[in-house]
Parts: sequence; structure tokens; C-alpha cells
Amino acid sequence: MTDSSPASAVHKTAQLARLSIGPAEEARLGAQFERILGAFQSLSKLDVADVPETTGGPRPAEAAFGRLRDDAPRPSLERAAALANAPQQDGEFYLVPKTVGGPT
Amino acid sequence: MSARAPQGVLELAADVRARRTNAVAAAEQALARLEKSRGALNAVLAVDRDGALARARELDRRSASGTDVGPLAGVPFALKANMCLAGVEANCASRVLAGYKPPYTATFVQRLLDAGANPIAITNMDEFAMGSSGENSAYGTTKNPWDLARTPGGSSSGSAALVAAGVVPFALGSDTGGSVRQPAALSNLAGYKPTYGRISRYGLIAFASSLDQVSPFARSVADVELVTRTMCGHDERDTTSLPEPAFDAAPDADSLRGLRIGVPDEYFPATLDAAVRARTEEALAVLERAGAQLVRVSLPHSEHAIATYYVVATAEASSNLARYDGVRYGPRAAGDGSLQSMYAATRAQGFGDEVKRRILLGTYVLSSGYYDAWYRRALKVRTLLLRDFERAFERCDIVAGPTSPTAAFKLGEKSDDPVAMYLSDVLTVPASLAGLPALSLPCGFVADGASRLPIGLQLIGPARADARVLALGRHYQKLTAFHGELAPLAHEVAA
Repeated sequence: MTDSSPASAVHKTAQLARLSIGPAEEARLGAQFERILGAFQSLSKLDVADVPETTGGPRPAEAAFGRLRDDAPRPSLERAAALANAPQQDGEFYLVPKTVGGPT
Repeated sequence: MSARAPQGVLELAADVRARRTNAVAAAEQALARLEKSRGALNAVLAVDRDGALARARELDRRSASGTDVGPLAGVPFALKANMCLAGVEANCASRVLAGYKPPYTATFVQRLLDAGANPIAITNMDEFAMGSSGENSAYGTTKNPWDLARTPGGSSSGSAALVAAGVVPFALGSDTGGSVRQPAALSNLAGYKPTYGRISRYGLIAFASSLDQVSPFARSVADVELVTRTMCGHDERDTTSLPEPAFDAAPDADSLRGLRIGVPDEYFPATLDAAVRARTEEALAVLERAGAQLVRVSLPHSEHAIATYYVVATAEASSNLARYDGVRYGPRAAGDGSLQSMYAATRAQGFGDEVKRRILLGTYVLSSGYYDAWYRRALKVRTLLLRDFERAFERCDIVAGPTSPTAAFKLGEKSDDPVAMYLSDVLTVPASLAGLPALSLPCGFVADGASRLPIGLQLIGPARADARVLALGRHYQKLTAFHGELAPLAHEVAA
């Protein structure tokens, strides 16, 4: 197994994905990763050099950008409703652990 | 069929509109059946009893005063747990969203409410719609009313089970790679994924945005069509929403003369379950006898559809699910006290195995060094899959084949093997990747031991040909009676 193998990539990928994963889980997911990506290797056999990409659903230009509403302010969600599901809030802001200036 | 057999959408709405029954009686009956089936099925995550009864009383009051109460008057229904009804918990069957009560109602739910329909419950599902069996829910597995040891299919497992058990006449699921069509096939229901963009996703909690479509279940195609048309039409809150209003239903045809039905070789591989092959071929013969011409077509890149789907969908999921970080909703884990550690610990504790697997896979295929080989390449193969359908539709009007490679499998049978589970979607993901309208409808049964298990026929149309696909489905149901057969549990629940 080289450093670029899917299994060894699990550790780095988990950091990118903001997922804390223990060593046992890392090993198990690594093995599954190898198997899944192995099964998907058939994609690499196709010649797609001149094929355009399909992104954002089948008809992006027409559906996604066809209509824009007037650029005018309008009422949206009330602050209290937007904050209601937060695990920690002070009625005005979402609260999270302090990131600068030392511990609170 | 017993006198108390569950009514369909059209039948019940007609009775409420004509005041042969009323919305309160309809809601109470559905709530009673829900409680009766609850222990056996585990199909429900939340019940909105008070809301449902209040809406029903209000509808009956307006009906009594002579107001038109809408085409879905008083019809109870259920929503998948990734759909927003203001104030009712929609946790996507995940611990990471436990307790989440949406502050707003989805556009498609509001349109059903405006038409008189009455949501009574939120249904169980595979966590964040990631699964093909319902086994990935953080709140336990849903059982199939046809055989309680088997899956009802997934990811819209609870919605399928509730309709199959005769609790509600229709329910909503979401179909990203087959999550409504496959459970419809395994539960003897009609399940319809409209053309991409037909139904606004405002209020559908996102999994893979270039694929997700709101999709209804009912026993008859006519019911599914009415519900679909009620939800359709442009919504400025979803930029992928098609600009046009809802499509009109096509009139009933006397025969299928002139209709060309394409039968793709790739949908009948040597490994296809023998009963699935037999029932599908019988269904095609029924359509041929009704005047349709069967045409052999080829969708040569189908073998790459699963890999393409799981690269594209996981990439989009890794991005969409980045928002679950313990800040705005759901429980928070402390970690070591730092912000970064809080994010990582919240996500580690909140997500289940399959969701973690897909977030990691999606993050991997999007990451530097792998993007071109995996994600960009999958987007190109997606184009090849689209072109396959475009070529096929030069020779036919509709493509037909099986929906699922097998009938309902036993719970636990595939849960240790992600690749085997992913292959459950092999016949449904191509239409998803191409954004095409696709219907699954009952086409017969297979005996397995003491069980009688349903099998589904899939009809796929060109983009925007929703009316054509649904009209063919209605025609097939006039020629067959499979959709009228009820699961054993539905008889118990109705007794």
C-alpha cells in the first residue's frame, strides 16, 4: 500500500471533511474505500477526452439562470425563528467556542 | 377486497368534496391505522396529530360554508423526514439533526396544503436519503408490509411502508438515485420521479442537488399523477425549478397503437433475477397486445452508471452536508473545547456509518490530486449516459425495463457490503443522472417461501414528457389488477 492509496487517504480526507475518526474506524473505512473505488475503476477505461462535462443537473443554463427576481429587499425569516434550532445562541447571534484571544 | 379497504386519493377526495365523508373522519382513520401499524413497521418518526385534526376541522368548516376545498380535499398523507413542515421535526433520520423543527414549510408541501391535503406524519428513511433498504436510519429499520422480515426498499422506506400498509392514500419521498422507484417496486406501489426541475426543492433538505427530486407514492398511477401535478410549477425559491407551470394530464387512449416502447438490452443482464425478468417481459407483452410496438434499443454506458452516480452524488453530498457542524441546528459535541474540534466531534457523533462513508468518498473525489481522475471524469461519463438516452429516444417514445434487479431482500442481507447495496440502484440511477421522468408501477409477484413479493416495471420518458409516461402507466393499470392487491398487513390494519 502506498501513501497515495485510498486507505491511507482516509486520514487526510477525514480532516478535510471535519470528521473525527478513531484508528479502528479509519482502518475499517479504508478497506471499504479500497473496495468501493476498486469497483468504480471502470470509469478510467472510457475515453472521455473530448466529452463535455454535465454539471448542476441536465439543463443548468436554462433552468438555473433563466430567471432572476428583482434586486429589491423583501421580508425574510425572523431572527428568532432562524436562531430557534441553534444549540447555543444569545437571542442575537449563534454562539461558538472562542477562536481568538485565548479561552473564555 | 373488504368494504373497509383503504381508499385511493381520487376516491377519498371525491367523497370529501361531495360530503359523503369529511376530513376529520379521514384524518382520524389514518391516525388510527398509523397507531395500529406502528409497532410492526417502525415507519414513522413524528406524528402531527393536533395539526392534522385542526386542519381537518378547518377544511370541514369551509366545506360546510360552500367553499371549494380543493382537488385533494381532506386526503391524509405522510412526508419523508427530509421535508419541511413548519414546526414539525424533520431530522433526516440522523442524530446530527435531532430535534430540528423547520421554521418554514416547503413549497411542495404548501401546494398540497392549498389543495386540501392533510399531512399527518413524518416518515422514517435512510439517514439523509443515503441507502436502498431503510437500514441506515438512526431510529431503527422500517419493515415491509408484504413481509416484515424484509426491506420495503429505500431510502424513502417509511413513506413506502405507510402507503403499502394502507395507512395513507399517498406519501412523499425523494428520489436521488431511485429512492422512490425502488421502494415502490418492492412495496407494490406506483412511485414517480418527475423530470428534473418539475417540482421545487425549496424545503427539501439537500443530499445531491443535481439529482434530488420530490417524488410521490400511491397505489394507482392516476393518484400519483394528481399529486405530482399539484406540486409542479415554477418556484422562484429554487433556481433549478423549470420555468413552466404544471403539465396537463394526457387524455386516456383507446389503444397504444403508434407508441414505440424501447427495451434496452442492458436492462436485462444475464444476472437479472429470473422472476423479475419474467414479470417484466409479461408486462411488455401486455403493452404490445394493447397496440404498442416494442423496439430493441441500447444504452451502452449503463454499466458505468453506478460508478458515475456514486462519484457525483457523494461529491455533492460532501458539500451539502458541510453545514451540519453544531452551530445552527442539532446537538453539539464539545470536542476538546476548540471550534475545530467541536465541528469534528459533532459530525463524528452525529452522522451514521453510511453518511460518513459517503462524505469521505465525496471529499476524496473532489480533493486536490483526485478531482480530475474521479469527479471531472464522472461528469463527462454523465454526458455519455445522457447521450445514450437521446439516441434511444430517436427510435422510441418511452423506455421500459425492470425497476429493481430483485424483489424485496431480507433485512441485514446486504448491510455489511456497501458495494452490493449500491448495486440495488443499478436500474434506477441512469434516469436520475439524465434528469428524466421515470415511473415504477406494480407488474406482478414472485413467491418466496411463505411470502408473496411485488415486482415493479419502470417506464422512462424523454425530459418533460411526464404526461406521456404517466398516461402509459394509467393505461397499463387499466389492463392489469396488480396495483389493487394489498399487503397482508394492510388487511390487518384495515380490519
